[in-house]
Amino acid sequence: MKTKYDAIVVGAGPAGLACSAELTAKGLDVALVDEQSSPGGQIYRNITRATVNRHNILGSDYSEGLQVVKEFTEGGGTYLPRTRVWQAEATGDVYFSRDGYSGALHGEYIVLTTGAMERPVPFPGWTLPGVMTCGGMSNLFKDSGLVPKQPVVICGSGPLVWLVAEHLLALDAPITAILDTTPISQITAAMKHVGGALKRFDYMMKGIKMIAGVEAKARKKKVPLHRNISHLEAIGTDRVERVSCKKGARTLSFEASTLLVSEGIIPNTSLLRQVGVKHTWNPVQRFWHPDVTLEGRTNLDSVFVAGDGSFVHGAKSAEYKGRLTGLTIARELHRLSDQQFAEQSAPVKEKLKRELLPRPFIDALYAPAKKLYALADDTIVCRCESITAGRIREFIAEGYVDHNEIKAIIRCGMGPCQGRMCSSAVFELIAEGSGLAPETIRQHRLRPPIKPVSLQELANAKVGENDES
Amino acid sequence: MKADVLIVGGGLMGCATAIELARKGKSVTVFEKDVPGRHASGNNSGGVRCQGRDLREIPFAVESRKMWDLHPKTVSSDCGFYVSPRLRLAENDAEMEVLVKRQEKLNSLGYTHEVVVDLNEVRRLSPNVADHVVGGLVCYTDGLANPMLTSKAYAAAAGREGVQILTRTRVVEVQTMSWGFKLRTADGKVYEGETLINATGAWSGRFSEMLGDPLPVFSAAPTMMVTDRMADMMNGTSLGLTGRLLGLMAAQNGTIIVGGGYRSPHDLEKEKIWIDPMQMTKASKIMIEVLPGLKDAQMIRCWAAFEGCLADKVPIVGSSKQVPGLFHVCGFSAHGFQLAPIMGRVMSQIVLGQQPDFPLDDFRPDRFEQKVK
Amino acid sequence: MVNQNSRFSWSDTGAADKTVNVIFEGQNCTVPEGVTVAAALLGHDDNHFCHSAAQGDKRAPYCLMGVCFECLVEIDGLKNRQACLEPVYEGMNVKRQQVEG
Ligand SMILES: Cc1cc2nc3c(=O)[nH]c(=O)nc-3n(C[C@H](O)[C@H](O)[C@H](O)COP(=O)(O)OP(=O)(O)OC[C@H]3O[C@@H](n4cnc5c(N)ncnc54)[C@H](O)[C@@H]3O)c2cc1C
Ligand code: FES
Repeated sequence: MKTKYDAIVVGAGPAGLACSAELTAKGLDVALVDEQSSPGGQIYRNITRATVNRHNILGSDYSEGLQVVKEFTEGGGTYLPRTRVWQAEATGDVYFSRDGYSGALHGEYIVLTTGAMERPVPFPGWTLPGVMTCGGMSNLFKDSGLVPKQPVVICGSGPLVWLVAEHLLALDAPITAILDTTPISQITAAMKHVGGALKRFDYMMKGIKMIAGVEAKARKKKVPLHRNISHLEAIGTDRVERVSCKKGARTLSFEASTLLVSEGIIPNTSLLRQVGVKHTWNPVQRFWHPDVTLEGRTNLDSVFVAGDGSFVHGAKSAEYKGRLTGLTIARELHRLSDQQFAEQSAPVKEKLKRELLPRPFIDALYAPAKKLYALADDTIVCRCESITAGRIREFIAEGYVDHNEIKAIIRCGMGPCQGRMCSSAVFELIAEGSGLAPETIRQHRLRPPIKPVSLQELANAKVGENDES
Repeated sequence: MKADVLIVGGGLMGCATAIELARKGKSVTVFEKDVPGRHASGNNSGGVRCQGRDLREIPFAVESRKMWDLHPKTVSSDCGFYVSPRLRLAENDAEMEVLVKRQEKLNSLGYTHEVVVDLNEVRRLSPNVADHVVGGLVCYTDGLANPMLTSKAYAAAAGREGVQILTRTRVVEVQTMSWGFKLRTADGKVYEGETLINATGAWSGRFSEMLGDPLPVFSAAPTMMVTDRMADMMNGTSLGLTGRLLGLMAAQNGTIIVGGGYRSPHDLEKEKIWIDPMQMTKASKIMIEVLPGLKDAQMIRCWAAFEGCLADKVPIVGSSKQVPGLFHVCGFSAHGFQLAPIMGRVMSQIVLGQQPDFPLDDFRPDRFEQKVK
Repeated sequence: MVNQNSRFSWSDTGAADKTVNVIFEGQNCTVPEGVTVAAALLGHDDNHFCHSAAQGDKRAPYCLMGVCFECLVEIDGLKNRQACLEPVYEGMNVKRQQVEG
């Protein structure tokens, strides 16, 4: 297997595909690596193999992705599916596992387009089988066409909630409730950004139409739709059986064998943090995101970041960011003159700017609710190690303000997910308990491997031994 | 600001020394550029091991081991300590010979903590070891502790004894005066004291230069990994090898902490370590050979921390010959965690001009110069 | 397709579509070609995939995008496979992952 490339791109979503396509178009040698078995990332998951029926349900926002997949495929860049990257270094070394062995690739540049993930928000019962994220449901459908055939509740805040509700209504899934957790107060807060958003009237109308469509269809099908919901709880032994929540002082309860949750999307920064990219705290969306320029540059000369991994802006923006990053690297490698770069990047920048117009409005409207992390002491925060909020608070009360230190003692964040599921919540618990400004709190550190590697895979390593010890 | 003793470095060595001195009536200030436990003391593999120690360290390690049992009293925390016998395996007859000789040597010096065991006992202690193993040498009283918990417990105990611990306070300049020392910290403050202790771990080489008493301490980044839970595999016994690099520690939660002398490239100035995963491919191969059941185990994470090392692999503990009033406690070469309790005690003894419990001649700061001469 | 226990149905697979046979916990199940192991199991059986390593309670896929590690199964003797990322193939032998120790 060839191991040296001009650029290694990690993540075959819209950003990674567009970036790789730009690079190969400039005659550069690119390897696009992804743990999935076909290109598309999360948003265009399984796009090349999904049935016509699925394309119909998912609509043009999904099918449009075929274009960028085609562009990459026809460009002839090397595509390495089912390859999980578990460590990257600013030296350009990228370590991976596939087919039962581990190995290393080297790129003059590495581009991390690892996308976004659902913001993990603990609530009582969230570890029960049957509780899944809305994004997860969407992936399941894209992969296989599976649809819930028993009572399903959809609960959360943000566009994904409405999108999944729209699809499941169209598929006649037995929805028992749609629960919107967006606090009413945030609508007023968001209104101050509406001016910018209205410059993309088309986009806003699409959103409004989608929500109105879900409301109308829910009414017709007698599916209860509640707003201003809080205190979500999944109840059951061995799997979810009921869902309860509060609407003001009232407690609501619904039958459910599947509960789909979503509290927004955050950048998936594991690999970025491991490689040493600098991050900044965003006080509105309350997440850490890498410090990245429009052109994908980070604090590390050889490491570029593009797509939702840099900041969650959606599929189209991800593609534009990927293109700009590709053009930038092509210029660095002297495949484009400054003039050519300016000419080719200007229209992409223009499109990206237009795409970003409604974001401040959406970010404010769907900011995480103030009480999102007001967790009861007995709620499990770290799924891998079954560690509760109360246990973590004991340490914070003793003066611990560093997730890394708490982890070293009680193992929250030490399991196979490497803190992906708990670090947002632990961070909020520390901010709440210590009163420290979030940006001054030390972030959870990621050590390689960012995903577990079997010893057999390591032992079967297909790279030259490093004999110095 | 004044104190009797100024200690630079808030790791275990600094804090252990501070506790003992404060208990003996001294006023002590500890300067820590980060927070206690950020470096070696809070991020080591937690091995509380007498097994396999350099002969020069054995009296200290044996006494220190007793002090580990007293932690609930001395620092109000058990530090997460528990016993996990450390069994060093012989993979062939030649290695068995080495182990037998080792025990004879120790016995002749009056030590009985390491015992040669036959294959039956090896299998009783560690039922899953591979068929080629021929025997071993075990220290039944060895164990493991939680380094972060230990570091925090020591810092807290020091605080209770009235020690002033200045966190996020880097010492940037030291002036030697007729009466003692003047320290300046990065925030521009000046501190004075009669006695100065260098407990700066990996930074000891550099720091000693600043003091006008350069020591040949170099920095290294010992590299470890931890597996997922494999409780049945280890049976509570920690393993070492005789002829190859590998240490497997059986953590109480069932995970295995893997080390054994692996090192990663690092930059001490920038405090950056590039963990070299290929080190772990070597470790994995050996692990599967020694415990074939580990092929199903996973490497969950690697980590590394900065440590101060010396060429002869034993520390520097003693007073400076160049600078009166200056003492060093550093260069523990990746095995100082177990020794911290006893080092606190002997350091306090020599600072107070008392006879230390055990002679410190082998750890003299100037031992390297003499070799050159 | 054997899926009486499942909480999900295959919305768009016709009788003419290609299928593969996967053995799950000793039972044969026929699933559409090309789906992930997670989809195959969710479409076949509603039950859990694995147990939490710390407390042994039952767990099942949560994120379906490779980040939560709650979908771990044993595939053809190899443990800790993420079911939401692995595609099925004919004759694949899948087991629930048991907790160690
Ligand atoms: C990965 C690893 C595994 C290990 N495993 C074991 C084991 O299993 N068993 C065992 O017995 N030992 C083990 N060790 C060794 C043990 O951890 C160390 O020997 C011991 O902790 C050293 O303590 P210390 O206080 O000297 O160093 P440290 O804990 O590093 O403390 C030194 C402190 O000095 C501070 N400092 C430096 N310069 C300045 C300055 N100018 N101003 C202010 N502060 C400063 C630093 O910030 C640091 O906190 C291991 C070490 C490592 C790195
Ligand atoms: S379901 Fe989350 S990793 Fe597979």
